[in-house]
Amino acid sequence: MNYVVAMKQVPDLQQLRIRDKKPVLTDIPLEFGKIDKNALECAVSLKEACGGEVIIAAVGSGELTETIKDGLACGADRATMIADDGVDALQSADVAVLLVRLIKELDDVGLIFFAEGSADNYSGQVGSRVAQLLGYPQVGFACDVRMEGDRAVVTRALEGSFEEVEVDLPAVVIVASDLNKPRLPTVIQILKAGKKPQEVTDLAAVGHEASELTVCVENLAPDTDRKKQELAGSTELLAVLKENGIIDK
Amino acid sequence: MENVLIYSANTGIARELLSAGRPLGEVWALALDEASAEELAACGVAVLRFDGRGVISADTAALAQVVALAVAHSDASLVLLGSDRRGKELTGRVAAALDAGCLTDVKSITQDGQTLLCTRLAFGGATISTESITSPVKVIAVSPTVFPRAEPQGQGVISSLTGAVDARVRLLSERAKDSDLVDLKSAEVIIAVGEGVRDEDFEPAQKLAQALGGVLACSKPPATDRGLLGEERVIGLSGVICKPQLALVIGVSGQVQFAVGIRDAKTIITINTNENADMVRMSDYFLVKDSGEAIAELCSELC
Repeated sequence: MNYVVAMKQVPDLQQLRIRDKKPVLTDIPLEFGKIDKNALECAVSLKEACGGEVIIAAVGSGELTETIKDGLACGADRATMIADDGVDALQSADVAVLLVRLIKELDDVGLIFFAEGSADNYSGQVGSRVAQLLGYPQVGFACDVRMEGDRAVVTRALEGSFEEVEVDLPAVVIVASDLNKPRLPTVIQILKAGKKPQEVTDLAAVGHEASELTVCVENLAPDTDRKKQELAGSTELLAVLKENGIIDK
Repeated sequence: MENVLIYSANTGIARELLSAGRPLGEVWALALDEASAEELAACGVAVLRFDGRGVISADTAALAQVVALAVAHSDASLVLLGSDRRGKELTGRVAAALDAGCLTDVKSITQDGQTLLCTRLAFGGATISTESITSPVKVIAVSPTVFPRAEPQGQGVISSLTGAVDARVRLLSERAKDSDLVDLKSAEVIIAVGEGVRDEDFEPAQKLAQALGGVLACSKPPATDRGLLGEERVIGLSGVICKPQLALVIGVSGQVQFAVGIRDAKTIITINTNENADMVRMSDYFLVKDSGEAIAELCSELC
């Protein structure tokens, strides 16, 4: 039985700058999101315990063929992807349809892993959309996953509680952030990553038409201007704390 | 006037969705149990009570089928769900089932003619994105606490909704989360320290936080690079987005990665040696001073 991990390349947001209220994305390197790596780690440890293969399914711009090496170095056996600069203009619903196409080509899929949200948009809808399109059951915000025969036992982390559920396979598991510590690849693993099998196709080959179900009107940094009143010293600062009812003396 | 279907497994959130939905159309509420159905009906909304033993909130696939049945029954073109964890997981599935566009973590909804403009955070909160859905059916997951809970008024009719749903997820056990974790999200006062605070000043900063009835938090480096505080205390892009009454920010430069986590504070006071720091620009009050000296002075007054 094989494990699929859907991964998305995103700009490294630690390098994001804002200019004239607009996000500046030029020259920011692309990488797989942190939670995507949690999802991959989860699949790789299950594979190590139960056997099978870990396959990354990804849809992204042309640079994906480079970014994918990081996932392959971190324990995936092979990758299937649509790498095309036209992907950047596509929305979550389209990405879900394209991922379903890639996944349908794979044999003996048991679990399909997603992150609870991508680092850049964090809408968290692609995993659920894929589960619906494939007609598979799903468990989201997973913080623990184990295999029990032909079923998976998954713990879902909700706001105030955990629930342990049993789900029939094949199924979609959407992992919560920080459910594990993703391994760092060794130098040898990094070198070997480029030689692992990759199936790459583009949008023209799959003939996908964009659905455009949503429109983004604007995307700007909020105003952060405040009154910026300078305080002369700690005494004045204490007075402000008192004014705000934080201290009463 | 369009029909609006609201659903959340959390009845408190469902009542918020009722407040969100009423200005937008004729609201129908979906409920899976008798108690929720009655609580919502008491708020004056028509309730569809799904009568399907065996459908549990933990089974998102089954729930999405129920929501789709309710949409068909109520002829709704707008579906409002909660953007808590359960609701967010459900949103994409319902949207795919209805061939609909969806938006999650929505912070506001405004009507602009026939268009509904929704705002949500993007790039980890660095920007606020204004988006609208163009498909005939629209699915919106609204962040909790954005809208007030609808109060009891009038009496809505409860009608039963039936249909076949296949369940493939079984609940094995449930347990509560430990509540002794640091809770930055609901803290009223936050003292945030950063790279400009020396190691030896962390303990006094902790005392200061206690004296102010607040919680000590930090930017990323003190937790991940210096290991002085746990990662649960990190504010910002890779940590918590908080909304305190007062934030006292000491020795933090204020790059966007940190700023997204603190900019919703009602009052921000910054202590920094650099009066041109980004953090100063987004402060109500600022004091140009060495962080250690300032912490010591405040401690001598308060601790």
